[in-house]
Amino acid sequence: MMLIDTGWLHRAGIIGMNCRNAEYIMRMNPRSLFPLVDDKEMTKQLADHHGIPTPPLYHVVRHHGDVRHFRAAIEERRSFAIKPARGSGGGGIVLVADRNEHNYVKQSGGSLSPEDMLYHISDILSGIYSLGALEDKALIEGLIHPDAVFGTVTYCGVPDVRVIVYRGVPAMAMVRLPTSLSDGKANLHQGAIGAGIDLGSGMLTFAVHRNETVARHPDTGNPLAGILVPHWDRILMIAARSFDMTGLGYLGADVVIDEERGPLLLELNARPGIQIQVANNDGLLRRLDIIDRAPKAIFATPESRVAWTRRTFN
Amino acid sequence: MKNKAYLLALLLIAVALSMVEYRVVALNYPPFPKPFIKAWQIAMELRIRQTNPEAPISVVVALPANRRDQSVVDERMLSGSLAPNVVTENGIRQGIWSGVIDGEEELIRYEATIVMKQPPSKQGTNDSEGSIMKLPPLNESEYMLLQHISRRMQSRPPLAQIMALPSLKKGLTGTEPQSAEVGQQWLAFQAEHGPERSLLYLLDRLGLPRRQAEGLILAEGMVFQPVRWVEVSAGQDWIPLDLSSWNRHPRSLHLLTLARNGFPVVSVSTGATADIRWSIGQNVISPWRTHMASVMHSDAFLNRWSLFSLPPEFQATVRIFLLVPVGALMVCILRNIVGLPTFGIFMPVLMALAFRNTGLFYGLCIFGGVIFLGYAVRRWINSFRLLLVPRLSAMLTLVVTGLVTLALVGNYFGYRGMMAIGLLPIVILTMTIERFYVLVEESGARQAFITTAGSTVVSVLTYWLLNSERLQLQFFIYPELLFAVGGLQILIGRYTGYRISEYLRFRAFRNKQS
Repeated sequence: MMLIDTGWLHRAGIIGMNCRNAEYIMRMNPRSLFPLVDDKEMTKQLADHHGIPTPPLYHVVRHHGDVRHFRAAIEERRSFAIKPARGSGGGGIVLVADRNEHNYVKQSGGSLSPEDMLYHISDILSGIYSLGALEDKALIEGLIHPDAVFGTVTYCGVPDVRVIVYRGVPAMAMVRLPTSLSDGKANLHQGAIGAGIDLGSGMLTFAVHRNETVARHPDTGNPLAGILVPHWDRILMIAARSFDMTGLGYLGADVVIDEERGPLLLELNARPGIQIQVANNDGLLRRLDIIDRAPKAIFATPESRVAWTRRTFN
Repeated sequence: MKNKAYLLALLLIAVALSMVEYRVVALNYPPFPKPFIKAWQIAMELRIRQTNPEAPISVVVALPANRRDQSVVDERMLSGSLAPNVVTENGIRQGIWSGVIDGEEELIRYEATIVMKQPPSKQGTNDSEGSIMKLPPLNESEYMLLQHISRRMQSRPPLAQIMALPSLKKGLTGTEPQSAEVGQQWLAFQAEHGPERSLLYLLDRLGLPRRQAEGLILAEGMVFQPVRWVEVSAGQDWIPLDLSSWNRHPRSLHLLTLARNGFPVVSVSTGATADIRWSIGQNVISPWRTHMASVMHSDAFLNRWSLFSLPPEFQATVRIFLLVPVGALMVCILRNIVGLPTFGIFMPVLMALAFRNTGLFYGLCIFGGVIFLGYAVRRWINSFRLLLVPRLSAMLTLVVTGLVTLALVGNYFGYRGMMAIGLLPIVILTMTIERFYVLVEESGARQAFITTAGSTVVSVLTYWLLNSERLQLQFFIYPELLFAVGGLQILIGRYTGYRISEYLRFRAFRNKQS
């Protein structure tokens, strides 16, 4: 007789780290495919090739010697984003909203001198923001103007939609909303809000902040539930097609919604976290098992996979 | 795949256990070697003076031997101009020094380390060690006297007879009319033959197996004259009897037998005289030497390929690094089953190795202090925007400066632990500072402190593990246990269940049934 009930995690269909690593990442994601998603430039080229929209790429700084070409390359751009190609957790990203006579004006308000900007790019090239790699590239991308739908529940920063895709089928999704605690970053560990999304309708269902259930955004005070994610079908299609694009059987697709261009694939993750379960108040393992039992026919095209998942998980 | 992994793991564990079993059963290894052993250090000094300068002389000294209850771990002889020779005859180990002395006098030294063992009981008494000492026959009245005494005791079991010896030594008590007269005769008998022979005659009469012994009482000090005692058996072990009381010898567990059955402890050929003295000391010897002694004198394959055959200076290192995989196993358990976060994978193991130099308390203080200082400096120099490699180098310089300063301060205040830092932790500290900083930046201070606490717990546990003399000895004697460690690591590698920490992380699902 068990004195302590340890079966509830399993009954709730929760996937643990060990299970995720051994049964899903190691089984479904061949190591040889990791570079496709670990390098954002490569992911971008792949997406372009497959007709998946991404934020526009203005310029890539590859070597320390190329840093001086940076100013010429962005001559006519007033706003842009600089990010490390192999960055993780949003480190090293600088968003430039405008320019004044001498300096770059950051989206968060401060300004950056051209010298500081070149230093920052050098930092990125030295691999400061890319754990595990000594060399990196700096990507200069178009700035995203987030769709107004999350405007009432976002503090600074750009919210993004994370979709877990298993065998090409979107299995679970959440939107990550920056807070003052997260310093405008869409990173749950740093204090961003995670809000679960109903796969069928694209409606926010549930939200957690720092592992606690919340109904309202802590900074803006606006309610979270009931918000409908726009372009929901296109978002799911981008996620579903990222499987055909990379061959990774278990991945996390991060999608941002630009007010003009709509959903754009920001990056892919071959080791997506499991906190999404808390944001959805549902176990991922349960859904993965359902996908494994789905009829073969639904795996044929991205369209059939998205249609099936919208019918099944709502 | 899953089954193959299990099979490999079980195979590794089975190989390890069967090798251990082979060593224990066939090669007589101790299954759980004792980490500390009290040993006696015996030094004999024999001063020989030659009275007849021409003739060659020879000196025979009874030496301690390996027996069931005593083992000689280590021996050294210093013989001067005489040629030493060791022979075992009639169960007595004899050191024979012979030759011609250069000057008038010669000093012979003999040193031995001896470990007393509890003799395993139930092994019977027939470890025949030489012949029984023959006694001259008694005259008729003496014979009748002993006959009379033994008649009164023979109905009792052997052990009770032995228990009655002390009162018999004091005299005869009884109600029989002739008891007073017999009592007088018995005391006279004792006076004539002495306590040792009287006892031997009596034991023979009673039919109890007995033997005479001479040797040393192991107690710290100087001994000029060996002691004599008599051993008697009631069927199982030999019981040493004290000659002054015929009681069980009060130091029965500390009697070191040198000679038996009337054989002299020292005998010198004519033409010389000898002075002998023993100095006896006690110390705790490292168990490594005792096990080495038992392993080295064997031809069995596993004995010849024992780690004890390595030069001693390498053994010390091997001892520690045999346990490093055990530390890694600990990390596996704490990370994948418990779910403690740590900086890096094996950083806690390396920290534990560093703590071996400093001790746990100073080690933790030094690590904590240097990481705190390092973090402050790292935050500050972040504004300089140094490139990665030069920045890490600068942090390394800071760490070294900090450790050197600590050593000087430690020297000033007389704390050795602060000086004994060693080379190992410098790079670890530098990388830990960097990881700590990155973690604070990326995941927040809370996560960084949780990870720090996790690393500390893992490194302290690993430190205790690595420092366990018992475990070091166990793995050194049975290095095949590494196969079992590998097997367990593979088993954990196939553990896809929940981590204990996930019960906390997903506690929101506690009362939700789906």
